[in-house]
Amino acid sequence: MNTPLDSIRNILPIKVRNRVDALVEAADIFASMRSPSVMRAIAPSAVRGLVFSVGKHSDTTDMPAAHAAHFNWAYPHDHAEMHELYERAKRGQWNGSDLPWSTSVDPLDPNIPVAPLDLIDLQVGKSLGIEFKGQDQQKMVHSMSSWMLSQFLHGEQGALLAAAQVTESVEFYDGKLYGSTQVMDEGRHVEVFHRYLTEKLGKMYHINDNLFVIIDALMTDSRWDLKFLGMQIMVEGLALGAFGFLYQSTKEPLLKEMLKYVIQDEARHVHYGVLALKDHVNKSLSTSERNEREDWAFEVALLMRNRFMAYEVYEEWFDGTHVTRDQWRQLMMNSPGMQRFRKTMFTRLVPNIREIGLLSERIRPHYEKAGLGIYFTGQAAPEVTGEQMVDELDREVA
Amino acid sequence: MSILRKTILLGKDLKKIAFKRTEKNSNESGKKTFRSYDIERPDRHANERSTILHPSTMNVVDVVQETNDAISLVMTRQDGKPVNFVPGMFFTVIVSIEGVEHRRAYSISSSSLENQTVAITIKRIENGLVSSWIHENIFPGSSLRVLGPSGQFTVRPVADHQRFLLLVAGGSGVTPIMSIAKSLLATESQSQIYLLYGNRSVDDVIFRDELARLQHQFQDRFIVRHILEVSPTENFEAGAGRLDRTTFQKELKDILKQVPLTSLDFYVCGPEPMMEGVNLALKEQGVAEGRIHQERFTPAPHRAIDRQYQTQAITIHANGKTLRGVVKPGETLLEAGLSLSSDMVFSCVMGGCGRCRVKLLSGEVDMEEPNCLTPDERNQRYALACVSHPLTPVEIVVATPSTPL
Repeated sequence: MNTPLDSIRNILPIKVRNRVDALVEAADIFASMRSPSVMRAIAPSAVRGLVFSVGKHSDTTDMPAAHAAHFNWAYPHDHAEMHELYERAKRGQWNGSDLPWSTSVDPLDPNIPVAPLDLIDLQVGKSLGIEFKGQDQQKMVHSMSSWMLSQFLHGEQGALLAAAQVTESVEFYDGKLYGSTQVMDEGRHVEVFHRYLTEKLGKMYHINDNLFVIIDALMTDSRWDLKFLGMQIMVEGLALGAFGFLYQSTKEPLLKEMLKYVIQDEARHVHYGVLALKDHVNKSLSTSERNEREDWAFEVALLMRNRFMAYEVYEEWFDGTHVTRDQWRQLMMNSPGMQRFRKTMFTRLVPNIREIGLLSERIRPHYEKAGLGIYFTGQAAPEVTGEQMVDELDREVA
Repeated sequence: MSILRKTILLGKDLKKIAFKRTEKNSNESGKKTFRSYDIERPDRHANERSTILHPSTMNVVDVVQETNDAISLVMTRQDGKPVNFVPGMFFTVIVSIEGVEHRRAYSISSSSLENQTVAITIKRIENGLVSSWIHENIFPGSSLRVLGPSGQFTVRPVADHQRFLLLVAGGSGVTPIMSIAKSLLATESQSQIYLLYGNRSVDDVIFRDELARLQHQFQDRFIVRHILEVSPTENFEAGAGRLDRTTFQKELKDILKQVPLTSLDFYVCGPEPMMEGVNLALKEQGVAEGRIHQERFTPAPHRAIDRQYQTQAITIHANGKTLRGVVKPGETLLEAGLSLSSDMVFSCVMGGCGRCRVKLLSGEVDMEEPNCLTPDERNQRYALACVSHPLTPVEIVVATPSTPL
């Protein structure tokens, strides 16, 4: 199926072709922005992230905040469920140093794979003209698992700083107390993911452009509920799914143990987001404000979906070779391991968007068009605890 | 945030990028999308699981007489590769005496930094079958079958760490302590180590000269205090008495003048009464259990070979999974569990370390004796998987770091 545009693209040198491919992808994101207000909220971040890859060019990035730190000198008990969550969070604290760090990890050992070997399907690769020889498959799985965990790490750093912002801006006092535990949780997640990457896998990838856009957009937005929506529901929700996938599929005992703990924290975080937003979305917002949140969430879901193409791994392996970015994307789309990965991620996310009331009939067709309609049903955060989730994941494996 | 502010921000970012481009060396080709870190990849042939179940053979290159009744065996791997271990680990030595196989755990006493050779130190125990045999039959040039190294009583040296350790040793319990002290002193220049070392008499002090030398070399951060039951006739500085609860309390008081209790981690290895006394004294001071590390070795069990066992069904709960299979006659719960590829936890494989402790939900087992399970643990229906043979169908729960029993 060659359009005239494709024919032009095909005669370009690979380097140029890849650059065009990336820009076309970014343009798709801009084109999908359905309302001017969403455009205003996300476009500047998208330019920073997708067009200029700002997050990759420097060790540090500044994202100025514009929200108000909300104080309350009366210290009311204003949200019983959040209070309960706070109690549960205090009891659920754990120490990252106590994980079995003495476990030897060999990321190239095919008998104890860190991530499933079919993340990259050799047959699919072959049909696309991408050959893997000898230990290449294991090395690729090492790259892919380091890449995934690196993005988790960057997401957790985003969560750490966003959780601090959310704690400042949330209006419920019980929410602030709970929020303090989440800041601690996220700090611990940054600690353990960073340690695992640097001590056990030996490789840490730069932040993915799409993830950068999401973090940048919500950190610089002044509206507290968008921060909640972006971090607690979207980023955390997706992370929960992603951690679940890796928890189920890894054979590496240290990582499994670590994820088990992280998942239980994450389940609380998403639950908190749902608690805070459910009433707000349904009672406090006008229809147009609600629609705007709905569009924003959809936009972020799209960015998320595209985030998992692992272009950073492509650049490491194939930049400057005959393999194009487009071929790599085909490989990512069609390898069974990656397909399962994307599926598990969204099974947790979409039901939560539904639960807080941002999945109306108005937006559903767009989710369907983006291939995310299959997740409309499914359990949302308040219906499932962290322990249940881990049990469920274990049962599916057994 | 206004579009204007975001645009200004982008301008700043672009400036940074442009600056970085000009700064970059021209020979740096391609985009680097990740950072690399050095990791310690396990030697796959020496990983714990395979070495612990499949013995390897070590060459003894030297035998050092440490005291009248203690020797160190300096060994190398047969393939000439370095021996990777964490200070505090032990080898399980397997010897055949008159056709019967015996296993004993001996701690490594050498530094983990000098890993071309490795030394274990063995004190001859009165009427001790294996230790006597080793003393009489192992010479430079001999070879020795071993499992491991393994163990949980370990301290991994990390160059930029700063910590305070109080090491407490009694008699030949100094062996793993010595390895920990030497390795840490050489690696962690900011850490401070106190060693309390109890012996009967000055002639029983293993590593006497080496300790003096280390003390001299690292005088600002290695403090050794000897405790002797029999006061020395020669000029040798030591506290008097048995290193028991009272003596330890007194010595600890002196140490606490120099370092606060909350900064200290404790590593204790020695005879049972000493360990018990130290443990009680520390608990009394309110030291958290997690900061008291102990190595305990009881005499090794006899393989219950004379007993006939039947094949029994086994159900194992581990890591949230349930596995079902059988234990063949003569197999231990551990061996059966491993062949079901269950997540079994274990270390010494001879009933001496307690690491493979499992809880019996139902059924009866026969345990090789003696072993390190306390009467209390027996009453609570714990068993050591590595020395247990089922007498009936059994159902067990395996402890993991996240779900201690």
